[in-house]
Amino acid sequence: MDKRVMTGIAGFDEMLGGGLNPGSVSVIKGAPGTGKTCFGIEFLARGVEKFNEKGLYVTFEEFSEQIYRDAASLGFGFQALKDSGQIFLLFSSPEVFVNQLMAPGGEFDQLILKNDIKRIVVDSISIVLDVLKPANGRDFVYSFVNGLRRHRTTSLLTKEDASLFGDTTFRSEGLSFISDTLVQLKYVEIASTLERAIVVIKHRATKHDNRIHSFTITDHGIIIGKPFAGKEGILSGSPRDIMKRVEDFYK
Amino acid sequence: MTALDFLVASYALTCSIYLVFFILLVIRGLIRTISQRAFAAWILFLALTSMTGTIWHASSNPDTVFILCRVDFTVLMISALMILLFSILFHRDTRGSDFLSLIPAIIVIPLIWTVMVSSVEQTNLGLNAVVTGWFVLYALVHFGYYIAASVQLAVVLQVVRKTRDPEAVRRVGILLVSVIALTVLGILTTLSFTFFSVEWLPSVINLCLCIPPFLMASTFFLSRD
Repeated sequence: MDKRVMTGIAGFDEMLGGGLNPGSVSVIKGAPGTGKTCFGIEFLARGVEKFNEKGLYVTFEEFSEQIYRDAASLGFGFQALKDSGQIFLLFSSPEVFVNQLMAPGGEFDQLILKNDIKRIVVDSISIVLDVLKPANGRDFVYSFVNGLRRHRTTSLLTKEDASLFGDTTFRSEGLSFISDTLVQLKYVEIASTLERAIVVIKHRATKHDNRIHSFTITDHGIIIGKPFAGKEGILSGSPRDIMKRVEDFYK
Repeated sequence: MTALDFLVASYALTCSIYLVFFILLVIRGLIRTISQRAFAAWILFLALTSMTGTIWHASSNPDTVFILCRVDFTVLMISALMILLFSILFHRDTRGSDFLSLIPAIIVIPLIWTVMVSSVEQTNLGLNAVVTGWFVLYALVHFGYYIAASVQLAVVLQVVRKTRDPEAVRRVGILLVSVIALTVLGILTTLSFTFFSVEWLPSVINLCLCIPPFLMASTFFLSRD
């Protein structure tokens, strides 16, 4: 088995059974604000800091200033990393990016090969699908994912959930089958407070942690917390505490 | 004391113990929540089952027994529904689809009163019911409810174990063991009447049914907290 590509995100690699598979394409999905972009930013920033791996951040709707600001809020100097040639930022339209991605030997390939880029984040695949509305979605996603796999880069695609709570479906033109790893981010309501939850739904050829964990976004990165023990219904967004039921029963 | 006397006495004792347990639950106010009510109802129906069993086996009137055995089967079916309801409420919020679990009981209860019990016959253990092939369906539904309830409780136990709260683990564990014990003893009682010729066997099994309420009561009244 190839050496794992560690994300460097505290606790996330443990959930993944050691890290992502080299050259794999992973999807991290969640509602707006759950932290998908933060995962993407930290995946690239930690890649540079801890593993000396260059990264490419592809964005279709956020300007570079917004990305720098988001990264700074996590404690990462993205602009400095970009200026030093460790991180590459590609602000593009879905049409242009897809044309480049699907043209072997084109600009995208040259960018990857010339700069020895090892990690790619595409934020987000939802925009690509929404804008391009491919007639044969599954074939399109297959070509898109293979374009990312071409140079054995490890890629992370973000995908938006339609609903703030409760949407745990993976429609999106076969993305769930074609991708190597699926990670779900969720808002959950616990004791009148919104918390964030993360679960690895699929991680190809790896024994991964299938428990639902809490996580927090701090000014020094993402921290994966403990599993939600004693609660059920986490993925539906409204967990019920089984322990409370047991306590109430014997009260 | 004949085997029949022993059987009637064992039913009476079982009935008393379940009734006392039910009364204790009521006196101690353990019927506030919906799950507590479902649990208490289950205990009450188990007591009623033993009560009909006592009267049934003490009676020498075939007409009375004919009705009592139907009542007994009906009450047993309702008790199975109660434990299933309790286990669901103990585990999670009820869903609309949970009401589908009523369908088998709704189908079987009319069968009990129409085609399942054909007659009564005189045996060494008094008057016993002669059942038709529909009894297989009844038994499957009845024990299916108990098995489903055991699965729900096992899920709760699994979650509770992760919290490392020893008192909660003990309580839910005993509850699960008690429900499983009742399921197994229930099956054995049925088999002992039907397939074994040892006269004292149903009584002994019936006496074993006295153990689960003590176990369950210990989870309420013998707290280590």
